[in-house]
Amino acid sequence: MGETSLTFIVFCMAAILAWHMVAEAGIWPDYVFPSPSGVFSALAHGITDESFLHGTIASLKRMAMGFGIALVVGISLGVAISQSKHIEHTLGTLILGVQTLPSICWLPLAVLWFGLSDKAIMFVVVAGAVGSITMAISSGISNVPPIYINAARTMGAKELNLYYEVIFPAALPTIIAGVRQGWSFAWRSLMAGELIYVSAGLGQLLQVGRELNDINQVVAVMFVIMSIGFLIERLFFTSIEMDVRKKWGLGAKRA
Amino acid sequence: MKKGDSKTGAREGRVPKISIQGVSKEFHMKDGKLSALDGIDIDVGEGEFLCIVGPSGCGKSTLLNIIAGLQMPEKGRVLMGGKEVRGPGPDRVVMFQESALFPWLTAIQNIEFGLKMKGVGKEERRGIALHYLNLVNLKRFENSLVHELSGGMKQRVALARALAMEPEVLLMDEPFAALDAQSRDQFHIELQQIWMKTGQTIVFVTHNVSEAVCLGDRVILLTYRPGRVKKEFRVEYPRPRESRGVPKLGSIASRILSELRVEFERYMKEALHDGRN
Ligand SMILES: Nc1ncnc2c1ncn2[C@@H]1O[C@H](COP(=O)(O)OP(=O)(O)O)[C@@H](O)[C@H]1O
Ligand SMILES: [Mg+2]
Repeated sequence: MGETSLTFIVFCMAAILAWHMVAEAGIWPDYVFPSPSGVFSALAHGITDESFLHGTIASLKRMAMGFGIALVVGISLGVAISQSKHIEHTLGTLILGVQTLPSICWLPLAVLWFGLSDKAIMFVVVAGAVGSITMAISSGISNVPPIYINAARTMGAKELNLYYEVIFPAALPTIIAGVRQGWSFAWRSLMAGELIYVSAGLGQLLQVGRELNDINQVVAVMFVIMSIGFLIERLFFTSIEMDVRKKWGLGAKRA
Repeated sequence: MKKGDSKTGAREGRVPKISIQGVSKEFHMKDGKLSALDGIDIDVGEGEFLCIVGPSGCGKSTLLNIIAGLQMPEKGRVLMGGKEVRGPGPDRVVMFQESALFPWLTAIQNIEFGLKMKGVGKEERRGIALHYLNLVNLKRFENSLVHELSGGMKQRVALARALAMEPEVLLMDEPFAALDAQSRDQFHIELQQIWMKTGQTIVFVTHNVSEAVCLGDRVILLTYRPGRVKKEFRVEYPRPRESRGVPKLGSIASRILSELRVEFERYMKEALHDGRN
């Protein structure tokens, strides 16, 4: 682990150096191809005047709300689908179909319904995440080995207990993978949604940079968005996933 | 064979612990139906160690699941202490061939599971679980994860988990079939020792004739397709018995095996005959 992160740091430094050299070569004007120093000072500026912080907080708040709603809706739909073959063949198939829609395609509809508003963005976030979560919950539950359920039932587990103590834990590896995918879809649709509306989020900072023709700001905000996405997806979800896999003895999956 | 021939086992004048009465089960397949069990009558006495032996596919697991209440018979019924079985319950715990331990729990948490479902408090159930973990000689593996245990150790935990429930009846479905011969022999001795200590009523199902003879007070032989009670054998020999090298047990085993052979030949003839039509 230590060795791989060291390699990664060396790689980053080399990449920045190469970037610097290309920028210095002056092939393109610096409003087309920004230099590392320009981007870093934009980054420093955004951090010191706290605009990046406020943008991040605004985006994460929206994300938490939207994703929270998506979790509640996805878990309910997923459990419902796993309860009956009929619901699976009807509602399940519908959701599977709708899920193939890139979530940003919901945006025009959301704007028609809610106007250029926070609600529209929230809607796109929820729409982006619900499908993956629903499918993960329902397939996770239907693939629980019957022997676990039988064993639990002969030991007196029933109804809610059976769900809390056996079915959900047994389905957890599948559920985590789906929730993680739902999160990354939602994060993408949130950024896209924030671009179109005075939203105070990171997406808007990106848009402002474009309007000011400030490429340094645009790239700096891209870095922020990437870092947050990376931190949450890789560090948070991957570490939970690894914990579960280790506990189950499933071995490491290609991340 | 007359129906009811095999209906023995319970001591005179006492309600048997389990009474299997005319149990039949069919499975409906694409190409017709398969009669897995046909009119099974068996009584199991309190504290009895009963083995049911028969070739693979003769319906042993189905019968055990019906006693457990995990499956329902088409015809007939199972009485548990005089009351009809309508579903699974902690008075009849099953130990399966695969350990069926929960991989998200540690060894000790697995043993505590059923007690938790019963509503036993944290401290108390930890105490009980440790007692049974000790009984199966796995004290040091309290906090091991399931995947860290060998096949034999998993079955030890599964046995402790079942015993910790202190069920009225312990139902065992070929629990040692996947183990190597040495572990199996070891288990046979230990299971008998535990049985002598606890007086637990056990219904043990296996396709392994010498295992059945080694463990059972009584061995019931099932036929193949449909599963019927063919014959029963009493095994009277001091415990703990070894599963190998005991002449008396060996002779009972070879009697059972020759019955099985007759059964197998009958089945093959019928299958050939059916195939020609
Ligand atoms: N759910 C099921 N659907 C169809 N056939 C089944 C099912 N369960 C068991 N069977 C069939 O019933 C017969 C008895 O099965 P089982 O009780 O598992 O036998 P055993 O445990 O003695 O090997 C087998 O022929 C098996 O194929
Ligand atoms: Mg079986």
